[in-house]
Amino acid sequence: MIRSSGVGFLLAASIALSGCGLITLMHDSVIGPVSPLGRINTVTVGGDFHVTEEGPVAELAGDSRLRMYPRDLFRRIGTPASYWAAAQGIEAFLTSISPVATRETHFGGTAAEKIPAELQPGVPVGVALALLGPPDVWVRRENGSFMLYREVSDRSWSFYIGVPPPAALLVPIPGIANARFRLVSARERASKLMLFFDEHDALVAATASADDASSQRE
Amino acid sequence: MRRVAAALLCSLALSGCLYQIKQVGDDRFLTAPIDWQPGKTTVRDVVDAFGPPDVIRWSAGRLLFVYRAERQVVTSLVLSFYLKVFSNEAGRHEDGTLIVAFDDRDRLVYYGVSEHPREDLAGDLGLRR
Repeated sequence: MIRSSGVGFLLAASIALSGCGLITLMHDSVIGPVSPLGRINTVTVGGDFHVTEEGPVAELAGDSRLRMYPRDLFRRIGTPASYWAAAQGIEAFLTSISPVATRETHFGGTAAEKIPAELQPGVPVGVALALLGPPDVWVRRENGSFMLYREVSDRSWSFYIGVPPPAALLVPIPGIANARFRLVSARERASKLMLFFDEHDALVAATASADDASSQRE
Repeated sequence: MRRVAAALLCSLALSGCLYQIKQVGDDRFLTAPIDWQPGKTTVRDVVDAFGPPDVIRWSAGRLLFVYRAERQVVTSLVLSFYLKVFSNEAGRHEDGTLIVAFDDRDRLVYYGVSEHPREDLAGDLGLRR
């Protein structure tokens, strides 16, 4: 009798906590717009599941909202990308409840950070390629050519004051979850390096720009 | 006492608010004076002024440099009380672009620059259109 009631309790709990369960729907309805978990029902039943800096995201178009578990549950768990998505999700969650958070992301190589000392005027193009690797763009002109190297960095900081949504569920004060304010400032900048070569493929000048400053060598 | 009251009022006024601003690219070209002459200004002059471009496009007889700066703002107010949620979100996205065209001799043919994106809080909050 005890065993059967335990199984029944576990079954009821799994249904209540599933993607279309009562607790899930209550979570989505009450704190879904501000929850670091996002809208669980949409993420559970929707397709094209992925994780962004804002948390888990999925498309709901044409999917049944009463599905208990994701249609592609094993693929989501089993693929290596899931671990990266999980790490991003954990980071997004920690960011959402942190009073102050900074984040810095770099895309592309590091060639564009500054002009290497070896790149002096007259250096052949082969030296530049050996030092910096292949460029993002290499344009051949009538009187020479130029190369462009590019690296993008995304920096952001956020300020949060108030009761985090998960903690607000535990505080028995009506409307306490509303006592919060978030300010997010992000800046995406590209560090670029441009090399000019003459018709004999010898370096003529190099110009780099990073943030507001630019440097030149010729 | 007044400071405490003011802090409490501000906290109450800002309850449930989110203000998110993102700036993309280097917007020097939107404010710096441009004095380029078609047929005289070269690629090097442009790069010396504003650094390497964000995008390069080329075809027969034309070389295009594109500089971009974007400003995105998202403001939202989300209030919940038991099972009721009040949500209001407003977004704003403004682009600034400079396009410079050169001929086969890397001389300026023409250029165009857009207006500087407005940076006003009232507009970000949807109080002014």
